[in-house]
Amino acid sequence: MSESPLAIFKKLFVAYKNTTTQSLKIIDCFLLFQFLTGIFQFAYVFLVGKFPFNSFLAGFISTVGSFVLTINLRTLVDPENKETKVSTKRAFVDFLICNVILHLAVFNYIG
Amino acid sequence: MKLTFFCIFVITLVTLSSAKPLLGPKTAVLLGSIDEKHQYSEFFDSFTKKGYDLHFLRADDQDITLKKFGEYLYDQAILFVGKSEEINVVDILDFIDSGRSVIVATSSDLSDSVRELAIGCGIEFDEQGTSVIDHFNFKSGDKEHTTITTSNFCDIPSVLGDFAQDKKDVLFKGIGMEFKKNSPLNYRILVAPSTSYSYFVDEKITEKPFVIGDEITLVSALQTRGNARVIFSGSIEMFSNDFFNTNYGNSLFCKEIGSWAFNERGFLRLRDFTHHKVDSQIKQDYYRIKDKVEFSVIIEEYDLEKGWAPYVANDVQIEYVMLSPFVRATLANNPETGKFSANLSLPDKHGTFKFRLQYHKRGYKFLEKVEEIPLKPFWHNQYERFIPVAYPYYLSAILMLVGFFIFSIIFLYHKDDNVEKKNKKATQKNNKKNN
Repeated sequence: MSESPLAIFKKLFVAYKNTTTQSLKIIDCFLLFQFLTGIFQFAYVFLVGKFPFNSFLAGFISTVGSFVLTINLRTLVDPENKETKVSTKRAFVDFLICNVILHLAVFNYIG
Repeated sequence: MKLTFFCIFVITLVTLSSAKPLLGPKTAVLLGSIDEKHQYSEFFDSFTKKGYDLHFLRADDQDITLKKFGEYLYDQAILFVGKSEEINVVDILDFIDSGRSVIVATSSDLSDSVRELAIGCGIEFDEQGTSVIDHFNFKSGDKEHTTITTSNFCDIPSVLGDFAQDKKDVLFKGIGMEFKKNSPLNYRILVAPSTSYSYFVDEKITEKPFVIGDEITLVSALQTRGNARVIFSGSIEMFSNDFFNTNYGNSLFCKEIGSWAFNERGFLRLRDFTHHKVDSQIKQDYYRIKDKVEFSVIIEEYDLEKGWAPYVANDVQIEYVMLSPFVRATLANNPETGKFSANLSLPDKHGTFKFRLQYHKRGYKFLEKVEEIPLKPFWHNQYERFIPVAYPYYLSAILMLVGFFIFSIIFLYHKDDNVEKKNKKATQKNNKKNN
């Protein structure tokens, strides 16, 4: 059956809306936000140049690092993921501590 | 009445003769025989008038000592050795090495020891018996064409002095020199015209002469690294009364180069070599990169009457060096105080740097002074903060943090009902079906 790409996307979107839980949707929102911020920073450094390189690195690492940590949280919290033995609370506490360490490093390096 | 006039006369004499030669007044004059001093009396008188104390000695005398118990008895020397007199080359070279100036004049009859002395100073005279001959530029009436006239002077105002404004042809009768081109301490003062050559008089030329044309140097000067000035002249007659009393420029030329040789012109000294940060007067023993530093030095020139007078020039430079200069600035001159100063912006690279003043101007004393001072990098809290270009990065980091807070609140306290309700509905439907 040759369906148009638009129809495929629409199907994907509807299936996504129905099958994912609310908490996962919140996580996905946050992921999108981090991704866009990272892209924006990269475009900015292309335009303006690398002058305070440490500031660029700190900002970029903050987005990329947060993205990675949030992906981790999503993997552990997803109810369809049957291999983890970690409870949601434990996953969230890990996420919290790692984020604190990441932002500590970022704000030190941003200069 | 007469006594008071006499006293006033003596006092004026004393104040008039306050001209002081720089190193000291004692001058040794070595001649072939003491009677010769009358032939050069005008030249010698010009020095005596300025306060020099001439001691006439016979060059051949074996008992001449320039040094007694390790101390030099004379401060300058004039050697008029044109009749094959043998001189003590080692003694005279030591005399020059100690910073004392010498004027050497010789003639075609020079001895081997004078040749040796010249070679020790970087100049080679032609063979004994040769003369500089010019069939086009000679004094009228001279049959052998050995008394030549020339107007090829050097371009060094400090050496020529007053002669530079009043240049006239100069008479020369004697032997020529060859000048090695890559000796940085020697200068050619008087050069033969391009139509001359150096060979034995009255002999047929069978081989290439030692020097030809304007390669022949007639008068040359050496300024050693110890700032002794040595003048070599191939003609002793150039300094004689007979040549002075003509219409040629011998008189002024010889007196002016003689006064340069005896440090009456172009002798500099520096003092107060200071540097400090632009706003403060405190002398620090280190600087930080990208500092602004003000550097100043006072340079003075010795003048025979006034003593040390401020030096006026616009080409003195200071360098900030670490293996090679990073910053070089020309110093601005204040003519009244002789103070040279400039503002330097120290470079970005840290290390051990030197402030270096090197002034090697032709005809002037070599000035060199180096001061080493370290340049330290920024302290951790001296870097720039809140750079405007980097505002987007600051913004994104803050946004990540804020987003994290908001996300965690929402994540923890939201009510997960939609999917549960759907699941409940689905299970209820299933149950109904099963039932």
